[in-house]
Amino acid sequence: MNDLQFQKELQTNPFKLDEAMLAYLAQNPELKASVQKARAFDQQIEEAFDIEIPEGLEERILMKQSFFVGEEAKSNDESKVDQAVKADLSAALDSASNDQPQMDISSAPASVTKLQPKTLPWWGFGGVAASILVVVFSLNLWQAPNSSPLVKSTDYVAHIMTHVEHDPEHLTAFKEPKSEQDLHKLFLAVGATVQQPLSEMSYAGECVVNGQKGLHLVMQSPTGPVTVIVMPGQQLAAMEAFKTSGYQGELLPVKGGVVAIVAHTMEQVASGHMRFFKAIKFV
Amino acid sequence: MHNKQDFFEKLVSAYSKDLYRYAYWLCKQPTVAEDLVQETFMRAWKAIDQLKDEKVAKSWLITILRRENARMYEKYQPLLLEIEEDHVAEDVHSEPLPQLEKAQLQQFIMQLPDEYREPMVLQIMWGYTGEEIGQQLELKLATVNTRLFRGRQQLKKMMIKGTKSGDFTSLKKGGR
Repeated sequence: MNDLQFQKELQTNPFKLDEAMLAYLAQNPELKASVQKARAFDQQIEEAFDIEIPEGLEERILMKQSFFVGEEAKSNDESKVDQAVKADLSAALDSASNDQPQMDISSAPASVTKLQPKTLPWWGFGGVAASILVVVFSLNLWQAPNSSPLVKSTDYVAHIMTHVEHDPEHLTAFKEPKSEQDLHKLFLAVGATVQQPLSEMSYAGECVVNGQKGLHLVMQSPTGPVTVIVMPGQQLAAMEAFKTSGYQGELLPVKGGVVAIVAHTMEQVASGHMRFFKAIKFV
Repeated sequence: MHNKQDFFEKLVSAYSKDLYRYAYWLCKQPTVAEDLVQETFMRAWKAIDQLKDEKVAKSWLITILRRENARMYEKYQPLLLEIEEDHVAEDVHSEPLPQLEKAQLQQFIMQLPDEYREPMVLQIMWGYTGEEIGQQLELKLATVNTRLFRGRQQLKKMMIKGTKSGDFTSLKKGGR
């Protein structure tokens, strides 16, 4: 080993001194200063690599993932219902066609066999029609119980903000359901179930937004309250974020309704989103 | 499903910050870096059943992120400053390195060509060995070592040149 080789190895990795380098260092102790210098330089670089992380990064990652999981579950359920409906319809049609009258040729003279035309009995038609009606009815019920058209998100935001700002005491008041059963009932009324306790929930109660009954929740966080409003029976085309009057929020389509999450910062919204969807499932 | 979700949350908690830093030093833009990390974790979630060994989670995530980065941008050939190694070895080692503000050093690191900067991030920030860097970047060990050496040399040269000229913004840009 020579000085050039030593320096090259050192500049490749100042913290990895192999046997050859250690032996060379022992013979040339003045090179210890080079080693210290190289390590100090790497320390500087390491500190420079350490950049500031955007606030709420983790929450936003989990928020996006939980939304994806919800959408996936929704489309899986839709496809299961589609398949079930198709199976029902197919079974209904098969059943109707199998109930045709059988041809009886045993009584006819052997020399003559008249073929009778096959006809579907009147109740066969009725049976098929009834099955189709049932299917259509089920589809209709499942898709949109109130048959609500898609709502404009701007209208939604306006209604939500009117509701949130109308009674700001909700943000600091403490009002929880009297029992766990009552809590479950509250959520069932909006088409949801409670999978685990909602952390730091300070308020939960029915509300009316633009004439529609919904659920109003407030969750506390170290940086401020987060409001969640669940509107069953509404439809939204896609998830949207909004910013208005000093608040930020998001509107999320969920199974059977829409969820609005409102707070003063997006980081609070993201944190609220994560906590809410971890605890609540829409059925 | 509960375990899968818990595991995913642990991955996010353990690696999201370092992945962001890595993404930032790859693409050099904070908003793009966050997009890269978001996409990385979404792809990780979709493929999480394929991760058989938790010990390789870190390199698995880095691989996904690098692929996302490649998908986002067309790779172009960075300007390579051809530095004679002997000259640098003699010149830069003896010169005292200026004490720079962190922001100034970050600026120089930004100006390094991608192929020098990336191995340095993996080695210095993630603690990867030369062999591990080679596996991750699909390079031979000798190539990795050369790039690590040249990266440090070039950085030193920029720091010394910058200090002498008194202008830290006038240096030739490398990378994107």
